[in-house]
Amino acid sequence: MRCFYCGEEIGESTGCPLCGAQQQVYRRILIASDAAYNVGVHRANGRDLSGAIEVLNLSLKYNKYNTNARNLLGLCFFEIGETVLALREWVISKNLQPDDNGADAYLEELEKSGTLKKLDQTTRKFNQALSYCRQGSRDLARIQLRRVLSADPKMVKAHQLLALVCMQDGKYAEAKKSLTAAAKIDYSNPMTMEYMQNVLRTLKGKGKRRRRRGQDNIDFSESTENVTVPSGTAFHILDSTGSGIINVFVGILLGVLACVFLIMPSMRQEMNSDAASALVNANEEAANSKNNVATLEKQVETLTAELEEYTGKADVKTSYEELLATEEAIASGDMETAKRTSGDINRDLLDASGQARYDIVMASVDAQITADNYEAGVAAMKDEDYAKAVELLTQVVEADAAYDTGNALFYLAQSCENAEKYREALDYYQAFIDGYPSTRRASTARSSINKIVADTNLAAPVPAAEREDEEGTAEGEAETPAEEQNG
Amino acid sequence: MIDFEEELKKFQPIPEVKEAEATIYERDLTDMVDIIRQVTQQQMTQQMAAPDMVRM
Repeated sequence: MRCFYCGEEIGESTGCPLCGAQQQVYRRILIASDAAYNVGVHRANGRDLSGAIEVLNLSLKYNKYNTNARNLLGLCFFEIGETVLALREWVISKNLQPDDNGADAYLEELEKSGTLKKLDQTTRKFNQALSYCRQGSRDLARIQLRRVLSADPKMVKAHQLLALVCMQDGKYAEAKKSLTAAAKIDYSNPMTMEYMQNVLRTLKGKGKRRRRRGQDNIDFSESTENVTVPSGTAFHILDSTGSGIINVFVGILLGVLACVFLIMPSMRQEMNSDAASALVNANEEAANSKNNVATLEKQVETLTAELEEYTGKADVKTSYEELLATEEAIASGDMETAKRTSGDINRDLLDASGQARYDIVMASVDAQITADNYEAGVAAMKDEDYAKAVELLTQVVEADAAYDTGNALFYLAQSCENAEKYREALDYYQAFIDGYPSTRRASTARSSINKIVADTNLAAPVPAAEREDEEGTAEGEAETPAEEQNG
Repeated sequence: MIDFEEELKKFQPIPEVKEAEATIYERDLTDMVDIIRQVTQQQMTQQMAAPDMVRM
């Protein structure tokens, strides 16, 4: 033990050997402090927290260095929801005794996992509720206090304030609940006890007044309301214990009837309506699908037709390749190859310059083809294969009617005559005569025409000059009636 | 009968954490040991000033 005045170690002596200060009073103060602390422990164990706080404060008034008393005081404050007061005691305790202090664990517990922050928020809500009460907004205060108590069920002040508000609003049953909860935390709290007495007195008085009226009324202490119902009413009869089971059966029966007659028809109707809607939607989709199919089929036909135009013809790359091959074949004089490769070229896929080159190439190829056809056609005539001669020479004449100064046309006419295609022969002979009237073969053609007309009784072909005259006359006759009408 | 307004005055706002520092400084830590220390100091001072007085 140390001297209270100079701090010198004094052991068990009554006076300080250094400063001479007497230690008896000091020792008594320490004993008193410890005694108060012991009482505080006893009360805290018995949940008399208000009593424990009182004596622990006394203990610290004797000796502020009583660390155990201060730490216990902090615990009591924490238990009733006074977090900051608890924090205060533990911090002071830590300052007065930095080493080997139990307050370290309490402070660490507060700091971890945001406990202090949550408690601080709860404190703010309580203060807000108190403010609502002072403003007269007891409903808001009640709501806020319920939130506070859900966050911190041990806040005694919140229970007490809620009880006060409930009492003011006449809700004594709810007030009693709050006060009961507060008493469980701190049973000897003077305010809690006072309020509880008031509540019990009020509730008791109400019961007496009902009995004084001579009625055996029923008092429903609900959570929010006190309902008083006079006895002997139908409600009382229905609510008596004996008829409880009957009430249950009646309720079930009514529920079943309500389902059968009210709920199920509407459910069935709704289901039917849903089914009908689904059916309508399905039909619409089917109709749309049919339309889509018809449209798609038309598109397929169109695209197929377009594709057929390209059938047998090469794509862009191949067309250019074949064009080059054709040009090379022509340059080397290989007309057979040129004819073959030119057939694979798709002119439409070529660009403008490609098409120009294609036209040049094809002019050469066509000229070669015409020459070959003419030679083959003449050869066929000589071989008396007139059908083949007609086919080949027709191609020549179609490509160039004046080929070989009209001889192709003349040979075609002869081939047709020999092939007994007299109408075509007459036309071709006449065409030759029209083109080359002064030649020797024209005379031959006239003779052939006369012979055919005489043998077949076919109408003689009309010379071109006469046809033009006839066309001019027909146009003039057609105009005259219109002029007469206008006139 | 409980007077609501009077009872309401007994309720004070609970200090928040931000007020903890002020709360700590406001705490009066004077105890009886401090008092007897002051008394002893006064006595010693008086004795030194008046050495003829009987010491306690």
